[in-house]
Amino acid sequence: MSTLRIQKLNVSVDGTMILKDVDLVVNGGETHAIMGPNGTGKSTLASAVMGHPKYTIESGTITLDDLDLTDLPVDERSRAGIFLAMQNPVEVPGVTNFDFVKTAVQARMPADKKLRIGKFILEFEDAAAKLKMGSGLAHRYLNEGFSGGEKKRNEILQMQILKPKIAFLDEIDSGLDVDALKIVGEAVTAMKSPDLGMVLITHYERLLDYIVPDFVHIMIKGRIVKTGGRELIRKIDSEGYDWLKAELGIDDFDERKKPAALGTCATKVAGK
Amino acid sequence: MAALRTGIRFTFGAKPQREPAAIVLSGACTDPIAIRFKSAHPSKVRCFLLPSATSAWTMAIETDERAAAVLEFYLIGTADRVVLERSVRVSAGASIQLSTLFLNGGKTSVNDRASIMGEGGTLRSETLGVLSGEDSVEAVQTVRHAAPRSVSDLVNSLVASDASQIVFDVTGAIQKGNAGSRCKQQNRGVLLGEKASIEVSPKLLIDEYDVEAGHGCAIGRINADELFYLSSRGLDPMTAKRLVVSGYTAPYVQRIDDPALRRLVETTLLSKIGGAS
Ligand SMILES: Nc1ncnc2c1ncn2[C@@H]1O[C@H](COP(=O)(O)OP(=O)(O)OP(=O)(O)O)[C@@H](O)[C@H]1O
Ligand SMILES: [Mg+2]
Repeated sequence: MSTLRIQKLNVSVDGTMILKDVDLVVNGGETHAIMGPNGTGKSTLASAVMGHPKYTIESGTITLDDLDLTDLPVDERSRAGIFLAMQNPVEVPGVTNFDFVKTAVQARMPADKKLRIGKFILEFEDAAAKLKMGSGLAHRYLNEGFSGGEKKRNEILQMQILKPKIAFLDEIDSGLDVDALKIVGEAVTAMKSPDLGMVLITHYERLLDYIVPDFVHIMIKGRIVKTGGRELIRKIDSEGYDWLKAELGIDDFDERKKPAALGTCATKVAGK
Repeated sequence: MAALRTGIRFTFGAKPQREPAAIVLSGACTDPIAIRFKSAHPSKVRCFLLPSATSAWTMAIETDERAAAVLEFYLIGTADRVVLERSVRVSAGASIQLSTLFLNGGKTSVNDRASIMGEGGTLRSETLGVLSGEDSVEAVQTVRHAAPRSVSDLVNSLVASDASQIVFDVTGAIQKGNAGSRCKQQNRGVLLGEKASIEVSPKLLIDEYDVEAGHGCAIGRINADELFYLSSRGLDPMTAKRLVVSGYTAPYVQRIDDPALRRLVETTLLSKIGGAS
């Protein structure tokens, strides 16, 4: 069982502070959900944990068990056991899906071991069949021309084969139709084990019907403002985030959305 | 146009081939070379160009009517300067498949002029250029459709790392009266070095209504998001780059059925990409 520990994490993008003092502990076997309004920093958190160079960690630490990930490059974090199913998977023309996944598996094998290709093909095909992906996708270029739903399934397929210790699934439900949501939800649930800690980022209750979380965190304006159990999901689904903002006294005055004339004043208020 | 009067002459396709023929040209060759494909049997020819200091080659490639030929060019080795001039004439009903691999170092300039002279003649040309260091390739490719129902299909796959420079000027022309012709070109390239550059100017000059013509051009860098995606699955930057480049090179490598040649091409490619930063 592994533990991901995020402590007092502050992250900026292009000089704008996005995440503020985020604390989160994810243990193997646990499923966490992070919900929150658009533009609040959910994807930023996932990308910062994975190590996207666009996001600057201003302070705080990210550790996986005894390993400090904070300054590690992306590929080392991945090989250490972090996985991110991306909100917008990138298309890479010229590289087949199969070759990509094979290379990724080889990248995490000890140098003196060789991939048993026959066994790998079976595993790949089995995973693809379970996700009802259609066998043709293996030999198509990575995500190129994949439908929204196919891209999301492809992320789950990679997660199944790479077997991470901690996985962030960023809006894995967006773009999925009802049937696909069920297939993906069941596939992810089947992966639940003490060896895997999961963080689901979503806007919808629906996904969480299939993949039941143990903890629900609400993120607003770059902070985790509330943590609770499943009861939070229902409440957000029916009432949105306004009750929470009122309860916590969060000012909805967003400097970035205000007209320029009020800009200086707004910046001061928000920056206090 | 009459065939070359002097120089070196090769003829293929008169007798059946058991295995591909090989032509090896090394050093500075000044004599023009004529290659003729006859129609009795299909031919496959591998042409190895091994330049030294400065090499200049002039070739005239011609087909008889209904000849079918596969002609592969491998440029291997390093020279200060290589000049390659090829003229290709495709007769009626003939088909020629040209493949050219620029695996060489130094400065290379290429002038290819192809004419499809006979009805239903087909030319397919695929070019792979993988450059590193300060090497350069400057190529002018022209295809002229001078017969009805003629087909041309050009594919250029280009990889430039370090500070290498690639310039391709690609023109397809269908002259009036050659209805039913198809003229296609596709150029794709990836830049791996900050100082590398790829410039492609595709042109189509079409003077006939009843034809199909098109060009596609996609040149780009591996961008930060692409690299992030590949790295997030555990690929180190070098492996990620190699994987992206293999998307360009694999189709060419896979076609080589001779194991020794294939290894040579693979290791040459690897040495170029391996040095990429
Ligand atoms: N380059 C940038 N410069 C400034 N701000 C940026 C930049 N990139 C992202 N942001 C901002 O960071 C904030 C957080 O974005 P993020 O993608 O993490 O939100 P999110 O919670 O995942 O939203 P959604 O639910 O819409 O996916 C947004 O307000 C976004 O506009
Ligand atoms: Mg997001």
